[in-house]
Amino acid sequence: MKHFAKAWFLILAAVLLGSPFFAERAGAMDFSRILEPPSLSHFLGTDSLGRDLFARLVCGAGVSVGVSFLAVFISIFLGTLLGAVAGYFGKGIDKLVMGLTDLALCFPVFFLILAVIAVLGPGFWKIAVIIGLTGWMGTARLVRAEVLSLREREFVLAARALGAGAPRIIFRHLVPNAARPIVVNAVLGISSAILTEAALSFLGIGVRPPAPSWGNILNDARATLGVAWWLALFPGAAIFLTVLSANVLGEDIGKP
Amino acid sequence: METILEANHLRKTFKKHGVKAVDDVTLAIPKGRTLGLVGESGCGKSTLAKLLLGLLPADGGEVFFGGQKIAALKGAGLKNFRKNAQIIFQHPHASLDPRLRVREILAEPFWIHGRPDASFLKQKVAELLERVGLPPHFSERLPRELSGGECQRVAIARAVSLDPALVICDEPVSSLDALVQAGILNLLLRLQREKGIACLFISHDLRVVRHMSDEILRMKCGKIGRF
Repeated sequence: MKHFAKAWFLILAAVLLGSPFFAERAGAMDFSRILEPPSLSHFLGTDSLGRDLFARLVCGAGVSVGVSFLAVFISIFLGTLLGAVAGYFGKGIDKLVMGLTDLALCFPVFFLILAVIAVLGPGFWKIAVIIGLTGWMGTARLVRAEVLSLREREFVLAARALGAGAPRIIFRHLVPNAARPIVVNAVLGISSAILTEAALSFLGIGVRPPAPSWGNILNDARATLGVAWWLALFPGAAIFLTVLSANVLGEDIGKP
Repeated sequence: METILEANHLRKTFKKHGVKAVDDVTLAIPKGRTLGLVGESGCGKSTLAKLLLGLLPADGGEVFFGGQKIAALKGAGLKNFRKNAQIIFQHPHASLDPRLRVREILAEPFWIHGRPDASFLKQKVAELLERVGLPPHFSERLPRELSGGECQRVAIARAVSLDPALVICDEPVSSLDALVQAGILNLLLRLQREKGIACLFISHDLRVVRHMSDEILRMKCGKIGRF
């Protein structure tokens, strides 16, 4: 499983590097060849506008994976910062930050995202930022718990005895020693961010057509599901494999 | 005799268990001399060490370092106190950050107290390693690649790196085997004589304390008595 997950991410990386070369093909419509099943000329078939599905999936990977990486980066950064500060300082600051975290966890996140997009409008950057800003709570709790146990360790006391200030202790000693669970959290976060992006695009408020993303390719497939199975199967499989690989890899890194 | 550190009626109770870990402790450490502190495990010795360095807030009483109350220290005053009072812990591996190399561990005090350049640090690290009897190539090692005794030597090097006036040794040899213990104790004695460092030497082992100290106090259930 682990090797399969790694292999899939290698393939994804290659696809991401290659995606600019497929941009033109992904947008090229050919009305004489709509809804063609997989063949030699169109490896994964064509959609209802005669566009090559393979090219669209490759370009969509850039969008879907790009959005989720950016989102995870934002949420991990925020969560780590808030969790470490809460755990290290304790007392009032801890109560405040954890209160904020509980509050944020109470929101039905998906509907919050829907509402925000309804106001701001969709787009690559907006989607990434909004998914990131609503995903930091789990990381914050995790990092806080790690820091709470780390800060009593003797090497942290030794650093304090040397006169190290809070920023040095937090960023030099505490966060690096919590790196493993943070990385696990990040990798698992990628899978949920991909799902969220796909769901948003599927609902038509994510990445805007004609720019392809795995979610909106699936959305397009809905109308012709009865006659063109390949339009739903392949983007669905891409999402499935990526999420599965991220989960498997996350669990593997988390093993001591 | 002139004292470097004084504690008056120090108290600390841990609310969760209602244990009086430190109960009305008064002591004074003379400049350049060693005060020994013996007591069985769990009698509050380590808590006392942390209180004396201000690493834990006390419930009552006060600590004076060089005539200044440490609870009231701020900014430059606090930094100066931190530079001058150091601690060596019991567990050699736990007191070194597992992710940093020896070179980085020994450079940290200089980073905290000033912004040194690379060649100065390199020279200092080499000097410190030599002072505690470790070969120069240890600078690239991680704590997990060192034995307990070697870790403790690194911890000692870190503690004396800024030429402190006082070092609190909290059971520095208790988790080492006898032969290594002797080596570490002799190293501590030598460094102390070289630089005239005052020392509070905490241990549950009376023989070790006798070997190290000019004067000995005894601690039992949080209280201090003459020995």
